[in-house]
Amino acid sequence: MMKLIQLTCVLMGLFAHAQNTENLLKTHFNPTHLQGFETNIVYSRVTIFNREFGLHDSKIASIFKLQDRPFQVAYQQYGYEHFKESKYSISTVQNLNSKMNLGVNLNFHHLGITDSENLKALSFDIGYSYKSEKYEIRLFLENPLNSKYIENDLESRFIVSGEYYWNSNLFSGLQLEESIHTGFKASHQFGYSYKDYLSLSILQSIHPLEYGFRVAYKKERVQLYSQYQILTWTNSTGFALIYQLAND
Amino acid sequence: MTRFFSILLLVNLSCIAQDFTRQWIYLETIDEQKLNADIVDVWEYYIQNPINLNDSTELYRIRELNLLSEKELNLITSHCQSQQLISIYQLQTLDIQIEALKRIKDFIYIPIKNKPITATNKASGYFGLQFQTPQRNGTLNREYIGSPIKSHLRYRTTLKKGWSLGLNWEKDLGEPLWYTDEGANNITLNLIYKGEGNMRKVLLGKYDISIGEGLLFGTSYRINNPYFLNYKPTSITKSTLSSKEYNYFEGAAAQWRIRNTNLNIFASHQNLNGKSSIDKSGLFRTKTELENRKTFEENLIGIQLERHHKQNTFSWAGIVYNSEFYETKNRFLQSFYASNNYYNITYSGEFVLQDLDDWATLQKLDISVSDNSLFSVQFRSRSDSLFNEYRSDYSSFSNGYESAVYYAFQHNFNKKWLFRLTFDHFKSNLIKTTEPHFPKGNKILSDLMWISEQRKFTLQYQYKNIENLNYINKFRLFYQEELSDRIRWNTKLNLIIEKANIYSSLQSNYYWKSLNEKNKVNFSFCLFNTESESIYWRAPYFYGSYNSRFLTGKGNTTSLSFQKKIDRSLKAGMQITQINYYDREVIGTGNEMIDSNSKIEFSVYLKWKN
Repeated sequence: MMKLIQLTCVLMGLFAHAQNTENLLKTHFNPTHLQGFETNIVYSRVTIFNREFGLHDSKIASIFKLQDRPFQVAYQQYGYEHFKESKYSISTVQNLNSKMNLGVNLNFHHLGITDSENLKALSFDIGYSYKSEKYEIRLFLENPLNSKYIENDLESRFIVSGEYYWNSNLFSGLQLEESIHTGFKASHQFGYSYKDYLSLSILQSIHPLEYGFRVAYKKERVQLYSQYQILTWTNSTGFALIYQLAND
Repeated sequence: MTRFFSILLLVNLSCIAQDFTRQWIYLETIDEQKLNADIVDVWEYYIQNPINLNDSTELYRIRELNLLSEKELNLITSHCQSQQLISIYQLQTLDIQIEALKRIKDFIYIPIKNKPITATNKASGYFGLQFQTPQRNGTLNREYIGSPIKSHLRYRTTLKKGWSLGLNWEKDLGEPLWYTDEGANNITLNLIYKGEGNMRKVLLGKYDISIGEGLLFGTSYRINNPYFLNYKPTSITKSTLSSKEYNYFEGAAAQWRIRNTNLNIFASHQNLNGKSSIDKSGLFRTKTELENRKTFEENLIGIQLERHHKQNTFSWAGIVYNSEFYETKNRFLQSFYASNNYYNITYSGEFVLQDLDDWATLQKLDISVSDNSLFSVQFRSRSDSLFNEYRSDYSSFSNGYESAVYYAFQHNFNKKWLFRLTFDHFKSNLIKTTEPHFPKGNKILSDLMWISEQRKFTLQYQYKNIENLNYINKFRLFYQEELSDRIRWNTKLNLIIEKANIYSSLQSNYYWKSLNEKNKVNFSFCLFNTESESIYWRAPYFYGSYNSRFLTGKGNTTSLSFQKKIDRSLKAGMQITQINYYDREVIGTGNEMIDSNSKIEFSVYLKWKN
């Protein structure tokens, strides 16, 4: 059922000015995104797929540093009244050298269906990133050892993505994704930021054909994101709130 | 047996391990289809028997290495034909990238005057083991006669006066090293003589035959893909230490050269495997499988005459072939081959006859425009009763019984951009009981390649359509980047579109080497998603292991290898490969069944050379 989530997969950009905060909104969180966060952060996002049924995908998370290493703890939930799939995650990243990072997510999954037994599973994901001045390459291996509730019911996914920064305001991204449950997906994104407080992204998936846009506004420590997407099976609306705590 | 291995190890402890990583990376980037286990055997052969650049008849064998572009080949060939070289380093004066020369450096030589070519003793050895877990049903139920470990030993050495010796001994998982009544399992012992006089070559043992364009015989390494625009036959017979258990000959071969004429004679006697048809699997692990081992005699005797004159080559071969598999026991096969160079136009063609009844032909014209463009037209036809067991010519139907017109175009826009486009229209010559009785089809292949020192990008498209069958579209994307002097990364995307279905796989390979290049770590991950069509997966190069698979279904595969140069003579490696399937509870059927949807394979090797 997690496969429904990935249909909301969007390519979100990496705005240098915004301390990578847009990456936090990704449906499939690559732990290497944690690299570079100097301040503690609390954030939450909600994507509504179907208001009538109450079908939504939401996440609340916190990023903090422990012994100079960034960590994230997160809770993510997908579903509606009679079906809820939850994931508790802890993520961290290791700097290999000035350009490369290796990260890991440890996940605890919980599946609750009305009139049915609750199911639990443990899984892990691996992320790798390489960053140069102009571009960034990322690999993400989700659940590579096929952890499961019963049999082949947890998603396994492989994502290769790259982002290129044309200048300090404009960037583009390309993502190739292979999923065990939904197959191949290719998507790209253009993002533009204006004076460190306003940004706009155009999102498009080539296969399957989906598109949308996202706007972000930043005011001091608070950032607000809003997004609308036309997916193959529904239209979705999403919001996110990111709050940066004081350094001390 | 342990003692024998120990002696081999000790005897050769002062050697340098040969590493083909540079060559492998080049081929992987240029055309992944060229990579298979046999190409390493070709490289091994030419390490042991390097090509004399001052010998015009040997010179064109550089092509067989598949390590140079057409332009680089032409430059080297014409330079070497125009003058006698004193050193291979003179090639640096040509307009060829130094990296290209480094790739072929170990395979070429210039003889030092008054010094025999075999003055330096060369020896190399390889020992590899492979096993997997969980074990197969055949092992668990004790159906397999041998141990669940695959082992492979290879040894080559030069002897005195132009002779060299090779040994290859391999057993597959579940097979014994020695069959109680049938002797050693897949063992080869080769003796090779290479001379400078009239007698140029003598081979005893296992060898390959390649005649003309390969309409009758082409068992040596050769790429059967239509991008192979400009194939030119090189050696007629070549010793092989490959572990292949089919598609080779066993016996004796010799070559004489008198002025511009080569005379090759060869004879082979071997027992083929199989009952009603030839068993090409080479797997004899159970008593039932063993009943298929070496059941039918196959004999062959042949002669080939070849004359080179300036830019022209003519050859005739006559072969008597005899096999208990066929009702007609003796077949007389003839091959007529000619090639002619006229400025920028090259013609080559082969016509073959079987008992003066059945025939096949391949006629080809290549035209190069400046150094950057190449145009090729080809006509091929093969009648439906022609001998078919060892052919290597390119064909669209798997049996090769077809008539076809093929044309291809290749253009280098500049040093970085390359474009290739190929059309192939074919019609079957083998009648079908249902309509269409002689199905027609066509193929299109195109490549767009961009190569710089740091990045490589390839976009490939293939289309195949056969009458009354579904058409198939295939896309392949390859991107590679040198992240630093020590790290290389690439990713490959395969998309197959059949009817409305899309099958895909996404793979990334990661290569790391230490500063002193003594340690290498490779990592690969691939997620695949198919149903009826299989997707080709290749892990990073790991010496001695067939690191490629055709994957069908849904799942992922991970490979991690570590290779270390222990000292200047010894190299060792270990690899772990895991496959997880998501669409099945068990892998395989019968004795090969593994009672799990996941399996792990371990490989280790030790390699040495002086």
